[in-house]
Amino acid sequence: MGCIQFTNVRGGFFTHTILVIFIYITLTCSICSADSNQTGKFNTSDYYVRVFLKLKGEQETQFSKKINGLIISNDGYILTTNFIFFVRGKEVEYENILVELDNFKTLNAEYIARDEKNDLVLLKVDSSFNKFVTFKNTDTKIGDTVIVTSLWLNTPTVNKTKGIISAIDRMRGCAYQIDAKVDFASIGGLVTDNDGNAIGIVSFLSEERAQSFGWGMNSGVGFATKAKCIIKSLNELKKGKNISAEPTPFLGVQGDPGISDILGAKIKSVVPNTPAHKAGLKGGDIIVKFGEKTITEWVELIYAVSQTPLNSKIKLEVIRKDKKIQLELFLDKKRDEFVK
Amino acid sequence: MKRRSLLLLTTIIYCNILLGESYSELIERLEKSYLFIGGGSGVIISSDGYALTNAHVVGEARKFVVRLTGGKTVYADLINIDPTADIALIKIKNAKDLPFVQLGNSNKVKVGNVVIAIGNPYLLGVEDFSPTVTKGIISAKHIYISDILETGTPSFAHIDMLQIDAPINPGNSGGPLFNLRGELIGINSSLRSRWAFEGVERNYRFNTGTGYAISIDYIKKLLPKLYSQELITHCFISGIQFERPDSTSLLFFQNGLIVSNRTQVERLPEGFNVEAGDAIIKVNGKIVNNLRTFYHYVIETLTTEKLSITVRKKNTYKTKTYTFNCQPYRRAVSLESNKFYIDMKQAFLGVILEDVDDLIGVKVTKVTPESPAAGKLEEGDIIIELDGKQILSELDFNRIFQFLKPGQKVKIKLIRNNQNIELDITLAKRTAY
Repeated sequence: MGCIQFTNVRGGFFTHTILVIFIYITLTCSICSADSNQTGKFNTSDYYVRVFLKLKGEQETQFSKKINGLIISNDGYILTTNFIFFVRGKEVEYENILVELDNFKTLNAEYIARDEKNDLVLLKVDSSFNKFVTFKNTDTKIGDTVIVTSLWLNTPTVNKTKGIISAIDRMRGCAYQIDAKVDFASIGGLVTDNDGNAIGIVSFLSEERAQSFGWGMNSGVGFATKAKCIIKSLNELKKGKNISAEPTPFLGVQGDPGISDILGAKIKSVVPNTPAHKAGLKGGDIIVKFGEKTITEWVELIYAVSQTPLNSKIKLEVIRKDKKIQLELFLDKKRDEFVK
Repeated sequence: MKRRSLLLLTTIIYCNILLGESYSELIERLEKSYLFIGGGSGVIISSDGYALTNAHVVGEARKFVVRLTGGKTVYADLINIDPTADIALIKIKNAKDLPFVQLGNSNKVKVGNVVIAIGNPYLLGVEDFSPTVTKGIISAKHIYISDILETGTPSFAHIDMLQIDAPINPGNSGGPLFNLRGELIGINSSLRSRWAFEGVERNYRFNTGTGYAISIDYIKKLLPKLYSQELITHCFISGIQFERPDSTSLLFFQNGLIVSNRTQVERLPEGFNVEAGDAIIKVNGKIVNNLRTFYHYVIETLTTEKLSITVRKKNTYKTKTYTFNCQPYRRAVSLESNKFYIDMKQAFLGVILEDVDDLIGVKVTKVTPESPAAGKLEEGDIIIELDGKQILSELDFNRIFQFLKPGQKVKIKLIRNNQNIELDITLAKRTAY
């Protein structure tokens, strides 16, 4: 245990009672166990697999990159993410999906379904396994320690990084944000809490996201789809049902998230062939009302757009050269068409 | 009996430790004092709404909207700004009993101590206004970063920072750095990225293991002036030139910065009588042996403090310390604080000014049409006196201008086409902000 030493203590009833209380407190002491080494669960390479594609037709490489996958049932269900299935927003054409066990034995995998909303893909291999990952819906809090475990590419060993939970409701409530270092080799890896419970799978990381949103490999900003959402999705995925993402509309403006004296969202420039362009928005315009919402700064505009359903018609109040004008906005373009 | 009471006492203390704030409760409490400010962060330091952030998060804004964790929107005013040190003090309007944090002591912080940073990297918190919490350790102390060697005169200087490995990214700027007791020990300000360099898009400026927070001890030095809205000016020494160490010369083996004979002695501050060949070895008692460190220790000193420079005299090799009042740093960065002070004043003249190299006055670069200056002052005029007081720089101009009133008639002396001209101008009331 490390916190107290067991010694022979002489003394009467009183002393022993105090000692029992002492020992009880120590065993349940959260400060003591704050950084305990995990033992047992999901620590060996046989819970993990590598997933990759055999690409179709004339390609530069015959195979895609390898990412992690997790064995989640004894009859061969494998959980991974969408990473290898999309390149620059387009679906990759493949001949086979291949799953490589830690001992390098390679199996063909059957595609079952994908959850685009939570970045999950369910596969199945024709094999049985003694060891598999079971997810647990826990009461994880911000600040809790987490460990990311992934399978090394070239040897049957696991690779671990450690960090904390940075936020608990990212990606519309289905992802933890973690500060443990994650990179393309950890995608599809397992996230466990301090007690060794499987609480998430490393997800929402791609070249495109890094370019559009800024968080790169090992930047300290990483995401893991929550166990709660994995368990819920699996009910649908196992039936072969795909879950599509709620399409986020795309406005098409560039601005400055910095604050200013101007109470409104000031636009720097408008992207051509976007709803903003068609509505007649111009660089220099200040949006002060988005439908019913008053807009006082840039981030409010981004948030308002992300909350609006696709194909909505929105009335905008805009200040252009000190004059108030009304514009009609038709949000008929998806964010995915411009940014993946 | 003694043993029993000792055990009992120990148990009581133990229970107190456990029943005290848990780690999750601490994080929850600290999040409450966090502020979302535009694309960056801030932290509330008093219950009546004073908050700290970086000057570069505030930019040119004077009144703006900020948000608490959870999304509550409040309005805030800029109280004071120090662009050189990159610190700004703001105040939330109509604030009462706001959750705030205690200031810690960064001198007590040790390398290896665990720290917690709260911020809003990549605007991820905008969905539900929950900030990002990261954890790491102090990697190093007393780090200074500026662009002095690149530009000749620094446009900013991040002074006395703590280097941390808790991941901070764009969006964390202005946000708090806490120790495990929940005391504020720094304001997260910058990072050194493996990928960030000139010409590379913003998207590659992410954390690669080194982040920096301005230490709370330095901020505490600025706080009284920040609260009182005094103009904060940093020291600078213009006119001094140093020999470049040359591996083939004997200079290479000597410690300190050797003052070169290209130094313009007449520009040096009064009381600083160095001669060419003297070696500068300490600034304010701190050892310097490179140019960057020298300027960093000079710039961290405020003009209200005395600057002490220790030299090793060239002939005798004896050390001598000069203590003197330094010159205020007049260039680039002062402009932003200057703009702030202009805004605070009631009177309006209608000119845009620029410092001139030889510090003889301040040049008019633009005259606002339909202003008191229109028709009287011209582009290219060099103002040398305002209201009877000598003007050597824009800073001087603003210091005097802030006490003038709308409707007041002021005498302005200027040089136009090498001719001395005297004018009387009646100031108007400032309406635009």
